[in-house]
Amino acid sequence: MSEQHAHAHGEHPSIPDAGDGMPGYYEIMETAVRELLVEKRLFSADEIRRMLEVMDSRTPALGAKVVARAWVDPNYKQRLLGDPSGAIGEMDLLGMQGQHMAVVENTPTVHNLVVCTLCSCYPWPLLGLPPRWYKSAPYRSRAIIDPRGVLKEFGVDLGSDTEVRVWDSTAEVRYLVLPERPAGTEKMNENELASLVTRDAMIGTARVAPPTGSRP
Amino acid sequence: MNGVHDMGGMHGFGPIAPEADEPVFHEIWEARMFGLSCAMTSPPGFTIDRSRYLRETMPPVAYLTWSYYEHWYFATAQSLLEAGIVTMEELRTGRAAAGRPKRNDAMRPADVDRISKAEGRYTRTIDTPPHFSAGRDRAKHESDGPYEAASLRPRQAWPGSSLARRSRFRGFERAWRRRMSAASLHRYVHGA
Repeated sequence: MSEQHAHAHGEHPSIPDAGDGMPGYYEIMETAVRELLVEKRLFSADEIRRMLEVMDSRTPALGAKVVARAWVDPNYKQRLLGDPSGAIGEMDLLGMQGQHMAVVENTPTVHNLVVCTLCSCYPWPLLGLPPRWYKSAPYRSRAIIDPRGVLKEFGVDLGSDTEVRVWDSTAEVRYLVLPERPAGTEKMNENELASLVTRDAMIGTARVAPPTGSRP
Repeated sequence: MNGVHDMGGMHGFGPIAPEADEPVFHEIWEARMFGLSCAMTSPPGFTIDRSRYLRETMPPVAYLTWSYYEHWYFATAQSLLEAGIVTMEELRTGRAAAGRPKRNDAMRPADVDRISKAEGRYTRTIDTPPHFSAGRDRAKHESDGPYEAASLRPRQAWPGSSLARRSRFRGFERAWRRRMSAASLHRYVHGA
């Protein structure tokens, strides 16, 4: 079945079921609560706008900066693993839903995977808001009993000699995976390295791929 | 803690479905719901744990069938109801009832910047030794596949399996089949 969009991307966010243009039931409920709270002076519309602007600025590119810094600076890496919140704070990247951080390091023999089985906890200041699959029942239910199967679905096929560690997030403590630096990147600088690091690599559902064109 | 939200280890939810080029919000109202929930002046005593707990008070059928930001709607509205800041009638009409108190401590956009950068650590000192220690105590489970690992999910007896509770649940199921409205869902949870 084709799901092609007729319109150009960027016009408006992709809305799967917008259909007839009528507001949905929950859209109406959201509007009712929002207008009610503005009327009760719990907030103003400007706050919502500001909140969304703040969240717009939170993307996986920020987490990638932390990873790249750890790859090029052994002292920083040591601080990042020993006092994650302190080291991330040095780069001014702590904040709402990512104040108390834990960083777990992938090695040739250990692969880390992050989940929130109870809901959707995720390090917002470093990765932005989580993708839908991270919040979905299939991922939340399976990541802890079949992590190797889950990883295989994401294209990460681990040998039996690699230990898998699964970290279940809490409301208070958020996890960042420090992925392995790929081979063939010895001559790359920090910014170039950061551009290789993907969101999924920092959740643990991917590895960082070597730069295109490099020969392993 | 054995509700439907506690999904780790459950079977039967099917494959994971990553989306290519996924938008941050799939519908515009989701973005507004997100902004509203994060930016409102929290009711007294409202914490991040409470925010999650409120989602967990949703009846299981609703929890599984409502979308993610519908959960957010529920938790936000529920916190306002419980704090007495809004009433069910106000929620239904979307208008403040005459004579009901207004608050004047609304956050300003600058407050949003402040709370979005707030720092906090959750480490606490305790005066009792922990039961388990990292590295030394671990539960091991050898497994050939996911089905072997079913025992990983702690299966306690479902609490409160009294006839009353079950009939209450059946009442909810009946309501759900009639297409439960958000307001009636709140009313159901409050038992009114």
